[in-house]
Amino acid sequence: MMLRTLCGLMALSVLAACGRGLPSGGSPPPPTGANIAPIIIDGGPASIPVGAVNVPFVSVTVCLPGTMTCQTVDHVVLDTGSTGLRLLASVLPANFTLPQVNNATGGTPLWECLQFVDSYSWGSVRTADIKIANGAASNQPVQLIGDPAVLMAPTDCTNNGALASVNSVASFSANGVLGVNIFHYDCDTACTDPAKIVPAAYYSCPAGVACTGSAAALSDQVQNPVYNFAADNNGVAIILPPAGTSGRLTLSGSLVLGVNTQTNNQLGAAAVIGVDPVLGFFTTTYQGLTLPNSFLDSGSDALYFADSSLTPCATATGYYCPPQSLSRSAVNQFGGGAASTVPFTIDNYETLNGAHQSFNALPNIAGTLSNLAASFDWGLPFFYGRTVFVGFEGRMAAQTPGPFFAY
Amino acid sequence: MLKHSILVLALIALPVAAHAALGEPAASVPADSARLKASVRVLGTGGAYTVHELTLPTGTIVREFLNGAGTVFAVSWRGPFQPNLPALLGSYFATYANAPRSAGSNRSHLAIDETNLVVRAAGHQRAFVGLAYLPRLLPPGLSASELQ
Repeated sequence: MMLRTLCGLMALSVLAACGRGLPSGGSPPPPTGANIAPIIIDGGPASIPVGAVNVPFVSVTVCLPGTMTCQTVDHVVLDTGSTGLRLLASVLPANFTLPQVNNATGGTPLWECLQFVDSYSWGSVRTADIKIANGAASNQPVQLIGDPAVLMAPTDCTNNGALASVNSVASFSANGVLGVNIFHYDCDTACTDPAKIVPAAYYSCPAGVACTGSAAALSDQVQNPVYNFAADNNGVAIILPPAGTSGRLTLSGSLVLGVNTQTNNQLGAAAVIGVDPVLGFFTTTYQGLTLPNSFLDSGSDALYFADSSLTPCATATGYYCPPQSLSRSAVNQFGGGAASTVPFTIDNYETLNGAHQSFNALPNIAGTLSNLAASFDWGLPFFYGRTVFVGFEGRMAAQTPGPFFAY
Repeated sequence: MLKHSILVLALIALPVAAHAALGEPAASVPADSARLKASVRVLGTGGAYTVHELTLPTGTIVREFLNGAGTVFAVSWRGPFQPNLPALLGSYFATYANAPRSAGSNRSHLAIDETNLVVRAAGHQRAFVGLAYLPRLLPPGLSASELQ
C-alpha cells in the first residue's frame, strides 16, 4: 500500500520506474549538474517564532552590481506563485547597500507594495547581480522588504490599514522569496502606463515627500531572475523526493535551471498543462466541480480545496482531519490540452503533525478553501516525489511553448 | 511633475469618497464605473438578479450583482490585481477590515463570516479572485455559490 501510494504520487516520467521496482527508500538518486541549486525543507530561519512546515528554501547570492562584493542569503522561499527576488532588508549587513532604482520616468526612488490576500510587504526596489547555481544575471531589480528608509506603507497598499504588515523575517517566516512563476515581470505592461497607474503596485518615493503611485518601466520592475540568465532560462524544474507516509524532519531537493536544455531537466513523458497567459491558472475538476482558478504553488504548505464531505480539524483550523486516510483524485487541464488525472491522499493533519511535531516536511496534508473561490491550490504536498516543471511565458522548451506547468 | 503628482493624488482620493457599491442602489453602478475608471456592461437581467460587469484598467473584472430591489447585494472580482476594496465594499469596508478571519485564512486565502457580510478571497501575485456578499440581501432561494 505504501509503495503504491508513493508510486501514485510520482511524476509520470518516474512512474515506469515503479513497475520495475525502486531501490529501497523509493526515491531516485538526486540529479547532478552545474545548473542545480539545492532545496532544503527545514524549519526556516532560526529567528522565526514557529518552525516552517512544507516550505522549500534555497540560497541566493546577491552582489553589489559589477563587483565581487556578495552576500549569500539562505532560507529564501522558492515560490512558483510569484515573480522575482525579494529579500528582507534586515538579513543584509548594514554596509552592504544595494543601489536604489530610480524611476525611469521621474528619476525618483522606486518602491513597491506586494499585496497578498490579507497582508502586504513594502520595500524599495534596488539592483543586484544575482547568482543561483551556475546562472547569473547582472543589475537585476529586487525588492528590499522592510527597507527602513520609508517604513510607512501608503494607504492603498495596506487597504487603509486592513491588511497585516509582513515586513520582518519573523512575520515573513523567511529571509526572502524567489518567485519563479511563469512570468518574466512581476507587473508587466499593466504598470508601465503613467496615465493608468495600478493601485498597490509601484510607487515613487522622493526624499521627504509622501510616496505616490507610479508607473514602472519594464526594465525597472522586479523580474524572474532565471528568465534573465544567459542559458537555461526557459523555465525551472523542482525535484523533491517523497516525504514518506508520516513525513520527514527535513528533506533535500533540487532546483534545476532550464527545461529540456540539459540531460537533467528533460520533460520526457511529463504531463504538460497549459495556463491562462494572464493569470497563470488552469482548470482542475474535482468531485464534479470545475475549478478554473487552479494553480501549482510551491509557496502553499498544503493542498487547498473545497470538499464539504471532509472533516475539518478541531484544533488546527483550516486543515482537514479525516478519521482515516482518504484517496481522492482530480483532473488538471487547460484549453484543449490533454487532461491529467492526479491521484492524491488526504491524511489527518493533527495526527500527522502531532506524531512528529519537529517534522518540517509533511505529506498528504490538505486545507479548506471556499468553493466560491472556484480554485484548487496544489501546494507543496503535490511536489513531493515529483519533478515539477515551470515553463516561462514567451519561451520554448524544445517543441513546447510556455507558459505551462508540467509534472 | 507637480501636475502629475496632483493627478495621482486625485486618483487615490476619489475611490474612498461618497458612493459605495455593496449595499448601494443600482444608480451607483455608473458612479462606480467612473470612480474605478472601468468600462461597464450589463451581462443579463431577469431571474433573481442582474449582473453588471466592470472591467478595470488593471484588467481585473468586477461583477456587481443587483437584487430585485435594485440593490447591490454582492460583488466579485477576478484578475491580476485586487480591486480597490474600500471603493467596492463601501460602508461594509470597515466590517471587512475589522472582522475576525475565519478558519483557513492565511496569506493566500481569506474568509470572513459576519452576519451582515461574507467574504471569500484567494490568490497570489498577478492572480486574485474574490466574492463579497450581504447574506440578508441575497434574493430568496439563491445560493451564494451560484454567484461567479
